[in-house]
Amino acid sequence: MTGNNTSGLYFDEEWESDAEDRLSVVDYDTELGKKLGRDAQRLAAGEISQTEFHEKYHEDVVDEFGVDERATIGPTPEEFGYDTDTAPGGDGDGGGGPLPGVPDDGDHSRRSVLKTAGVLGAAAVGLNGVAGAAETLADENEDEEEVEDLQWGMAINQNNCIACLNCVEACNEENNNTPDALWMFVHRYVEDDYTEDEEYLTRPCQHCSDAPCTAACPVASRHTREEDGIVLTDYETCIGCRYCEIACPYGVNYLQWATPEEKAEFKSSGIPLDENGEVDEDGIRLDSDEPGIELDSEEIELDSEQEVRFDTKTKDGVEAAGPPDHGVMGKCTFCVHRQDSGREELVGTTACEDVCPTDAIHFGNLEDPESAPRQHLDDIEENESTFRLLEDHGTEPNIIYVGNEPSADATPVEGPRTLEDMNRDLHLHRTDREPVAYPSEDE
Amino acid sequence: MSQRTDYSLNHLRSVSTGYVALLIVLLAATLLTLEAIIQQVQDGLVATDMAQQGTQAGATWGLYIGTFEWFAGMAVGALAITGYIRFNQLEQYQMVARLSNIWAFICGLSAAWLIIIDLGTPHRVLVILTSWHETVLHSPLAWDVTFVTTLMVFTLTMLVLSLRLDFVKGNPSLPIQTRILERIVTIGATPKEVPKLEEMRRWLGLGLLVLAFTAGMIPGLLMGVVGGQPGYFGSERGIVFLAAGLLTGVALLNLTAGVLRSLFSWRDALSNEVFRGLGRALTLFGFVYLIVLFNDVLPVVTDMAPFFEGRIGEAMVTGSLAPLFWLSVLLVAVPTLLLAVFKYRLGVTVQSIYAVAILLGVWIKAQLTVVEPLLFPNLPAIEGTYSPTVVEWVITLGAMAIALLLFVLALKLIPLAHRDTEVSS
Ligand code: SF4
Ligand code: SF4
Repeated sequence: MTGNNTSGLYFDEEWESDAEDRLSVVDYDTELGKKLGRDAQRLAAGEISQTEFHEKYHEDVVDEFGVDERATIGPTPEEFGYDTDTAPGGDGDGGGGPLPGVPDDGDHSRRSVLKTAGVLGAAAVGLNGVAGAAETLADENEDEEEVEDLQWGMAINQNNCIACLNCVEACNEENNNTPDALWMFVHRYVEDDYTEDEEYLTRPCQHCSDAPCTAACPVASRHTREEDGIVLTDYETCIGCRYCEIACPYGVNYLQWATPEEKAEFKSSGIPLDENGEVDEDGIRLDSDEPGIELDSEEIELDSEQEVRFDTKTKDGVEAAGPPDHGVMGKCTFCVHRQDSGREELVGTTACEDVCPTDAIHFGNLEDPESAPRQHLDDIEENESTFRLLEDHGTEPNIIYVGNEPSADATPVEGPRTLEDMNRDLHLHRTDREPVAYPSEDE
Repeated sequence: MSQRTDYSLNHLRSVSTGYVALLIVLLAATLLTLEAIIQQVQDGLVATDMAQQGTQAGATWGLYIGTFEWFAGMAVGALAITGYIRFNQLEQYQMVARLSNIWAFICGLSAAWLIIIDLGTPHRVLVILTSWHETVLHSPLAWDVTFVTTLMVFTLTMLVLSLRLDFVKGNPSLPIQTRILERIVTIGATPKEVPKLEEMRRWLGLGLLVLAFTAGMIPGLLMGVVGGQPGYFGSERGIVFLAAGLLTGVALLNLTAGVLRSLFSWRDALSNEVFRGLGRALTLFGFVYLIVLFNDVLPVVTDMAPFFEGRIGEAMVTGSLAPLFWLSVLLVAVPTLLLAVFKYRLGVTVQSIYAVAILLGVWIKAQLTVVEPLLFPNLPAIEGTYSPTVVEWVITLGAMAIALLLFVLALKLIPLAHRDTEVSS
């Protein structure tokens, strides 16, 4: 590393040009953005105090944006590793955070300059998500060149969702799950008794950066992959204690209570095919008629040298893709078999995203400003709000929603799964279970 | 019934028809339990009514975990009682100390057993041990395994040490199985070591007490550290658990001592004075439990409680779970009040009945504590239901039957108090 890095801070020419590139796409002052980025590093390195930092920029920020909502006294650098207040949709934007606080509704791009400044500051010193927005820079002590960290995540636009359930079905087919294991689900609810408006919440595993499920697991079977942030279950060591499900506030974990009738042959779109384009070396059948990614066997040219994996093992040899075994916990894997397939057309895609007819789901690398979720978040209307689900649980979810977060007392209403569907699933293995009813049915 | 009033070692030898009948019933219950377990292992946990919280409208933990908490609590309570008596050298209570020592071990074993039963893949339980070194820092279940193991090691050490002391001090003629036990625990022992053994027993007693009041809270914290479920999280969980454990521990000893006294009329080792003491402990811990419960429940039923907690509190106090909740309160409160008013006057039998009511009351609350929060998901999904299947009932009641079986077998092996010479009947 060249440049001024005597105290572990990095502002060389590359930093400058990177900063300029990033800041040029927003409407606000590039110089201010660069200065903020530099000083964010100094702040993190403890060279300047938060108050100094605040005072130094308060006026500039007000000049530039017309507002600065930060509290003067904020958290310590350790604490601002993840600042919920500056996150999109956070309730008190900027309050207490190290970066100047400006509300996001009304002007999206003025937040972009701040986010970018935060990233520039954070990238070099390895702070996780100083900007607290879409950027969640993963690894510590990264070089500034490696802004391209990988954190898979999604932007899900609830305003686009029409609750067609294509994603739910595609997920189950892709992963060959039993119909009661809804790794992807769409909640339908109404907010209060006075409006009839029904809203939807599309809910995969949030692949949290601070996942309580991994901490709770007594056998370290539930784990987060360092290289890309996917939260997985090692099916070979999971003991089925369900502690992860207890620890997760989102209800996304599904134990395989019963032996699936026919133990899943795991159909996956990335399975290496034989010359007929149908069956891989392990005899796993590829069904290209399935919804999900369209595969034309003609088009797939398998290079025998090319490493293409496709079984229930991930690229590290962990049994964690596809359906779990009997007695073992499963949940959304962000289609890890696709991410590990080594195939360009599959990496960075998920089954649910592929089938969504309204383009509500955007999967990609949250670290990459060019990725689908980041682009989508940049493109949304300025008055659209965004949120991360149950953010006050401190789980640091990697799904960013566009729309309104369901309030605590949102009432579920029947559908998109009907009661009939629901009771069919409930009675799939347990014929004696009490049938259930949606609250609205009772009234 | 014989008119003997002194403790004899006769329980080791005599095999009455009642005993044989009890043994047959308990063995049958054990076989039935094994059958249910085989079914559960073959079919998977689908043999239970547990289901995913949320879209499967279920509770993902149920009777097994609730009963685990109950057994673990009794184990801690019995541990504390053993420690208290041994540390204070209350010779009058020596039989109670031995009984509680045996129960602490059996309850610890039963708790561990229920955790294994609850696993989706019970055969993989050893994975917990192999990954223990990396998970013990953060996984409450790994702490629990550590705690239950420590508890069993400590109680077994106390049992061996105190038996060694008893055997070294006096040597009445013993039946063959106890003779073998004596040989084993007195290897290398001489009468000279009696004072040293007495000291060791005393300080180990302190060790048990400390263990009970520190690590003893861990099974309660099993939930207390989980922020994901409203109603679980909270630093008071350990204290709630400990209060329940002390109460059930004392109740279990009241019941056991009451039954043994009415069977054997041991009016020296289980004197009126001993029952007064046990009754006082039951009253005290009954009130402690109720106060702690009140403090646990009151904040969540006020209108100022956070929404999710409030919803659970409401279900418990006035809603769908209210009948069970109030039943559990009454089963503890009524006997506690009666004991406070009438003290010992109603006699040993009534005190034993109180003990049964209290054990049941705390057991019901233990189930509610586990299940309540799981029935109410955070996201807008429908409320869950949970009504345990026959398999779950058989396995749960079977765990209690197996614990009792172990205890009645122990009665034929382990002298319950020290005797220099045999009392003839
Ligand atoms: S959503 Fe739940 S299961 Fe998924 S990573 Fe977060 S805590 Fe774990
Ligand atoms: S169910 Fe499996 S993955 Fe979940 S906590 Fe238990 S062992 Fe870990």
